[in-house]
Amino acid sequence: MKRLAVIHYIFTAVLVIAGAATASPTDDGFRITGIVVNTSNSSPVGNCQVMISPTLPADFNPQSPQGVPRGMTVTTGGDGRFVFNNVPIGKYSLVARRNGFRTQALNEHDEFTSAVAVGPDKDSQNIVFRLQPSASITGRVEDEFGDPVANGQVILFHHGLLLGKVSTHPRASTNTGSVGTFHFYRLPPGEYFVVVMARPWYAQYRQQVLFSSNDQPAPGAEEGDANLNATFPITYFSGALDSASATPIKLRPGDRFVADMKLNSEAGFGLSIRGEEPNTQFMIESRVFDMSMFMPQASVWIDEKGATDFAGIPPGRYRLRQRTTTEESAASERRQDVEISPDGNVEYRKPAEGTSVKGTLALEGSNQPLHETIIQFEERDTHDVVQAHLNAKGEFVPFQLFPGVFQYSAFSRQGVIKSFTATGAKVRGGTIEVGLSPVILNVTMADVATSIEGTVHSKEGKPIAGAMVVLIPDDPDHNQSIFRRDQSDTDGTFLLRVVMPGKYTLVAIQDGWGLEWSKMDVMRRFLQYGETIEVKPSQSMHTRVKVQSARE
Amino acid sequence: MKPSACLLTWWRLLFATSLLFTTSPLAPQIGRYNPPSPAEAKYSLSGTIVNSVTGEPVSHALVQIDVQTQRMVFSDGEGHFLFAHLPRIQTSLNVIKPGFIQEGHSELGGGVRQVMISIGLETSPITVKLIPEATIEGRITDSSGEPLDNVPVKIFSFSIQEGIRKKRDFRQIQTDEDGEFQFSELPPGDYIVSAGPSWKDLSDPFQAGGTDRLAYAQMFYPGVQELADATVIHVAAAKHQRNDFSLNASPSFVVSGSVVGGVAGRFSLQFLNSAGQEMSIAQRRDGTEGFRARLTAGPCLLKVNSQDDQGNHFYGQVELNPSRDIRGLQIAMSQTYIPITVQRLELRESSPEFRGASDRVLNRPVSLRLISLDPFHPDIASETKGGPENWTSAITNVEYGRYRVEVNESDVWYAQSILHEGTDLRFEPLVVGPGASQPIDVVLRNDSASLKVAVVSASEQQETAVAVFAIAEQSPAKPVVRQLFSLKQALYFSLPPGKYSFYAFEDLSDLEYANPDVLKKFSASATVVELQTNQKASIACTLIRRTE
Repeated sequence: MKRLAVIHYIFTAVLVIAGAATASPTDDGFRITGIVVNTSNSSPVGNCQVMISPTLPADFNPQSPQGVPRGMTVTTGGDGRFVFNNVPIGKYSLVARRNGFRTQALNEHDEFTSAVAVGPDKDSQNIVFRLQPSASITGRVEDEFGDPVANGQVILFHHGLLLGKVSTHPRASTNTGSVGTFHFYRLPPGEYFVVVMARPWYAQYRQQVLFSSNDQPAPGAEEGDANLNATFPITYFSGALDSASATPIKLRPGDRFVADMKLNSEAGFGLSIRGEEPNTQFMIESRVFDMSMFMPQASVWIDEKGATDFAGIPPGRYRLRQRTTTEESAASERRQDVEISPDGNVEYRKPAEGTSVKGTLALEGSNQPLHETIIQFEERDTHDVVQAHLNAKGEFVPFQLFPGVFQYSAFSRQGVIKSFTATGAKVRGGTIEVGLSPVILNVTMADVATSIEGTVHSKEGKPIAGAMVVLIPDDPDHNQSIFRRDQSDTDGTFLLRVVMPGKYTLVAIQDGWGLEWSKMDVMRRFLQYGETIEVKPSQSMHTRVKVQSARE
Repeated sequence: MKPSACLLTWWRLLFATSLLFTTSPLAPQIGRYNPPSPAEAKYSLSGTIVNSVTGEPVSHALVQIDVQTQRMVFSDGEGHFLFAHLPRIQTSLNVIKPGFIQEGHSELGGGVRQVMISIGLETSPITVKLIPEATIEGRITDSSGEPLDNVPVKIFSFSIQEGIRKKRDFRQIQTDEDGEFQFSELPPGDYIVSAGPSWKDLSDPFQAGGTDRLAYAQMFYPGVQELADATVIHVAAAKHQRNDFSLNASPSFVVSGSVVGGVAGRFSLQFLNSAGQEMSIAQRRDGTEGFRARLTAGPCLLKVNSQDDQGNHFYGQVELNPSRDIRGLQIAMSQTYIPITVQRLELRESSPEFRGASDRVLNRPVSLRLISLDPFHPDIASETKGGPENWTSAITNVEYGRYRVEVNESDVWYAQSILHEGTDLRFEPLVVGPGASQPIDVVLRNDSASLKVAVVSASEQQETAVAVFAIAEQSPAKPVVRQLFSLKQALYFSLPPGKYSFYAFEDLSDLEYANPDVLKKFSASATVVELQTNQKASIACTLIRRTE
């Protein structure tokens, strides 16, 4: 079951009737029972709030005599056990919360969980709810003089699976407090990196002075006066200046990792940009692991004439992004790599211009334009995202894409992409390759998505809970955006939503949550025992799939 | 000197001193000088930055002075700093270092006492003390010792405003997942800490059919419900104080009802605890007039405000002390309006110095200030509309409560009486309730005594700031203050007849001069004068030096 996006939402939607199960004297419902145990030491977790709530609105019956309006909460005793009596037939998500633990759904993997099926012949008792103690990374950031680095941006990167591939991606971001401390709480176990982008306190002070006095760029200093134009390079725990030398932090459940860091200031340099069109915006990006990150250390001044000055940039390689908006034509984009040497020399590389894209988007069987629909283009290597919007006539508001291969996808309540063609670019499956020539798109949306319900079973025909169900499209490399996944519930059932018409292979894998499921060299071995499926527009399906084990 | 020129100086001085006092307790004016020619930039300023507690030098502190442009240097490993090539100038000096407060600068004090330095041939090295900041930290647990996360923790500090020590909200944070809180960067001083309110579970607070929902009501350290019982935590510079305390879960209650008399659908609710602080509680609207809220046990005041498009305010309030759910509560709002009438008695004896002045102000309305006598209501000033031919003054938008009334007049006029429904508001509080009210009748007269005060100091240093205040025998809580930046000048007072004690200090920013108990120890150094109507007098006042 795909669990609700934010667990706290469940809490706010749940009624607490702790100890109120005796309110109903009849005992004609079903029971959900189990025990909450600590994953670290298998000991029972007492004083833990366990909540159930129906997964489908249809199961929610306010008049239900058994009395489960929207959900219930019980608190475990010292033995970690929980009991929900008089539970009506249905499927329930189970969430546990206790201080010192991450709030978790039952058998949680990525954004999935196993719902508990309740009814005749359903086993909803003696559930073992493994709760992971919360892990944390805290630290204090100081400069070479031992002073705290306040207001620094601290980014937590997670090294692990994201969208079916292992990558190092940002997971959370925070700022150091006034005494230079930062905290990342309630982390699941895994491998992490900590990155700090900051400026020294005195450089921040200088910035304040400059902003308040309108003096530019520096007050008339005498020899021996303080040079406040200093900055910190992007620094990786435990002090590395490049991502390859960063120290990974391997967190186990319950770990409290202390990642104190010392930053060494260096001269900060400026970039001055003159002679550009008015209404041009600039941004400086740096690569941090596989991501482009906006540089918070760089401060920017833009005067009335449109001249832009950046200050406080440490030596290194950057990408300068430029976006000019004019009333008459589309926003034009340009990007340019820039290298600042340690002695402050700035070398500009050849700029790349955006390729202009326009076209139309229609809803099949309707001559009304689509509303609130966005087509998103994600660069396959850099993961840079561009979102295309529509005007009232159903045309794309002209935009630009830099040459490269993009995955396209749609966000709309009115349908999914049924056909996607282009002149000036090569479309293959769910990807489009943009070159230097202008592109005209012709996109048709239709309400053709459907859903697949099914059951995962063992060789012996027994339902299997907690399996990863993956719907793999033909030509997977060019169709990454139409993969679908779910986790089987306690009765082995699953539901794949918003499935696009087409040919697929459906696989169910036990103990496969660590697999890079979007990579075909990883998944190939499961394909031959999967179910091949052809999904027809708007025709929902029922199917059964045999479980395979990831452990070979 | 011709009399007219003298008069002008007189009035300008009075005006300048009173204006300065209202904006900033003591902000020395830093003169802007013409840029000196390079030949003049031959002086230097050196000094040492030290930790006020340990006396150790503070390295890598940023020292900043203002000489046409801002000049900044860092202190070295021994805490020394040096500015070269300075012109002859008087400047202020600021020192910035994380974790420290410059002596005289305070986040709490309201006023900044900058170090003023005269740079020239004879300038000797200076020492600047930095006060290390303090920390208050602790852990919030429930009665079983279980740490409570996401609990709001507030810290209150005390500051002296207009000679009165007042508590003020300082900062608010949330406990972390270990129930820990930490307030860092605190100037040394007195603090009060509170924790809560917090809900024991995160369910919808208004879901029907629930049993008593437990909550942690707001408590003050060391675990008391009333602010008056809270322990004042004193932290010294550089101290890391630990203050753990626990909260008890208690039932919470739904209060629901409706408001009437305001603008439909446009009202705001405020729930104040017994200390007058707004409580962060769950509340919800039902239709245009209904509301629901979930409260922890204990007394609280519910205030309702509404405003129409013309800017008219409607107000209502009700005191609550729930011990069970309260439903069907009706809160009526009304507009408050108290007209003010002014009568000015022209009684000043004819004098060339004052004639012009009294003529000029005769047609002026009066401004009243209402100072709330409880922590629930804000102070308010009267509003004046119209022009010289048809002034109308009134007190509007005032919340129900008890107020002390002050006449804000900055010159020779003083109140002979402020009558309202048979009481004189000079001595009795104004009680404001719903509905229409009788006017406040103010009678002013201008035969105040004029006093010239010269301050004498034992020290040779004449370039020091000075503040003189007068305490009337019949109203010791309302000192009249005048300030100057040099002892070479005299201060001028216009005061109603009566007996006064005059005190002169260098700095009032941290003195509770409106508190008679605090002033007692300086009373021997005060100058006492009895003033008659229309009297003109001169007195000398000794500068009182407060030893640390």
